[in-house]
Amino acid sequence: MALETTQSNGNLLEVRNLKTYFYTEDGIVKAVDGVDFEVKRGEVLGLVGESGCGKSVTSFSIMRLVGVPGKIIEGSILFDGQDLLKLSERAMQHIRGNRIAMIFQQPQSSLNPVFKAGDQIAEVLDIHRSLGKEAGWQRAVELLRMVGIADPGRKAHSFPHEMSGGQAQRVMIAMGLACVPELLLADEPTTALDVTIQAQILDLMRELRTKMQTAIVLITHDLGVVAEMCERVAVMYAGQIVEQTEVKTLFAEPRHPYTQGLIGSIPVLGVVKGKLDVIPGAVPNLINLPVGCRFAPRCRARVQYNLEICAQRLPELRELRSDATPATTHTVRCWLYHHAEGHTAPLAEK
Amino acid sequence: MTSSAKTADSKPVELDLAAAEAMPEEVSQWKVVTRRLIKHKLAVGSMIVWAVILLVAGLAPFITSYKVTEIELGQQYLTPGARDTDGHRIHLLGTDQLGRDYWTRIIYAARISLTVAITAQISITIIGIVVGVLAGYFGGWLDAIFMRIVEFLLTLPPLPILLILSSLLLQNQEAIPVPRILQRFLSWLLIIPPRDTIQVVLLIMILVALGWMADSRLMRGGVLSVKEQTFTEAARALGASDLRIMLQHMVPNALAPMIVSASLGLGGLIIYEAALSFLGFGIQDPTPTWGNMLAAAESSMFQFPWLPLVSGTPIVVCTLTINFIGDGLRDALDPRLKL
Repeated sequence: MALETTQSNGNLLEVRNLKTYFYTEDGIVKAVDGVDFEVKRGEVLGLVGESGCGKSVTSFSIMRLVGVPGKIIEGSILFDGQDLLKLSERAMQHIRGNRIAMIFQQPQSSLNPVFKAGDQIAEVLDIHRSLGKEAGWQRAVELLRMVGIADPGRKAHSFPHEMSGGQAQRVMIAMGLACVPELLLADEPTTALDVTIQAQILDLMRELRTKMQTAIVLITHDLGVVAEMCERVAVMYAGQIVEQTEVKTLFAEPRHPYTQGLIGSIPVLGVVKGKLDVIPGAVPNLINLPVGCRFAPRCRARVQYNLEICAQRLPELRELRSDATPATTHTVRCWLYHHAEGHTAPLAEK
Repeated sequence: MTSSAKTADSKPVELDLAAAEAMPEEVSQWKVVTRRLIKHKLAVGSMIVWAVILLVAGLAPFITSYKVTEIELGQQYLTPGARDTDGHRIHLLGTDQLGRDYWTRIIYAARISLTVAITAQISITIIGIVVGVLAGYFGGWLDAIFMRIVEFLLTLPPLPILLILSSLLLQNQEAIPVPRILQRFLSWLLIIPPRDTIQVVLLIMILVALGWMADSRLMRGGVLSVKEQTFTEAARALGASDLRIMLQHMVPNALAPMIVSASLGLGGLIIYEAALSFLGFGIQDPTPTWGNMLAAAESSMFQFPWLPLVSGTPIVVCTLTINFIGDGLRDALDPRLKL
């Protein structure tokens, strides 16, 4: 049984070779182009990358909320043994908000402006638990208390425009967690918030995760958030995962030149630098992608090691053996570490 | 107090969050709108005028002692304030060409004219919302079909079409099936014989058939803009069905312009109804409407100038005041003007 196999290896979510393309007038935008990752029960996976690298599209694909002109053209998304891409829309509606929830980047515009916070939370419970008005409202107040809203009984009566960004995000989290989902997709949940509020929201998410055992896919471009929250990280670049490993390994030994660039561009407290490191150039146009490695045009290592294969062939995401932490899996998509016909990887381990 | 104890476990230092997160006094959307509407003097005055008109129309049988079709021979074209033949009752606004009390006919006509306009406007708004939401939400071929129909109907000049339709239908009104129960209800509401209600139903249907397009476009536009907002996506991510998203999330958010449009449209419908009746294609005498009273007064307007003035006044007053109300509502519902 498929169900048993996924449960036995502890994976709640397995995304395999996911491809989501957008068919625009200018051409096909390959927003997600062969993404593989898995999330274990109760785990926090970080999905990191620059704007436009396909992080959000990946999460929308998992929810099957990619709208026209986008389309999931290939791959499978196994959630608890079921392929979400093969489910009917009805069955999918039953999963959304119930077993997989999602919270968004803009909390205030993610709430319906004409309904009270309490009503909006009660709506979720009405959809999935058929709770009546009275019971739904009471549960909504409880949830608001759980997400740390002061005076929840009164706050449940307020409208989204009367709430601050942090409060709105707490309400969103309450809506997301109302049905105690197994998986929470958090799409840049703190990006629109002040730094102090960011920390509070992250604390809250961590606290609720331990309480509810919800696995989280945290989508962010903020490596600081990743370091604080996640157990494993997948780094995305131009619609593909380029490196995936445990958080500690990633920060200690970033292998992909892009990851190294990202980490190098974080200002470190107390270290005086004339200039922060920057990755030259920008994310490539997702319509006309480079033939070889998608990062090749911006890659310093390629120039340094004088690699020719980078511009010709796309490297695969392959496992690395790490000497320091042999137990951890560390996968990288880079020719620096992988041999090929007529190519000797300069940094390959023996 | 159990709640504060609970949170104190997880957070070592408990601040008075109620004070820290205190927000200005919470006011609901409708309270804000009402407050703004009350500030709009013209709108408030107009609403009072409408309330009085509706009250008078509603209480018509108790306000006047005459019957609406009570003909008094030899009492034609009495001047306002003239006395009855028996000398007891006063004709407040005189009598018409058949000696019927003019004031009585005006207030009975209000029942009919306003029922036609209000019923037609409500139907138009409902059709507009349904068509607009379906077209805007689903888009694609459904949208294309609806909008092409709308565009086609909008290219037709309304008044000639209204005239053709109503002359065709009114000539064959016996052939039109109007449910008995509806006839009875209208007969009771409008105080006219049941068979005369068919004209009323027809007129409403004609007005609706040619009036729903602009509103459905307006609704579609609203839905299109709401559809692009994150909360629609968020609702879907929470497992809401299409129907729920349309009813709970689209309609309430796109409703404000529809309310304004409905109040402004009502004025237009009063005029259309009057125009049709005036041209003789609407509801026929003996059923009084402001339009057919005006038409009857027109032939003798040089001898008895107060008749067209009296029957024209309610049309002007109703249309003008409903426009003021619409203006007030538009200002009150404008999201850019936050209090």
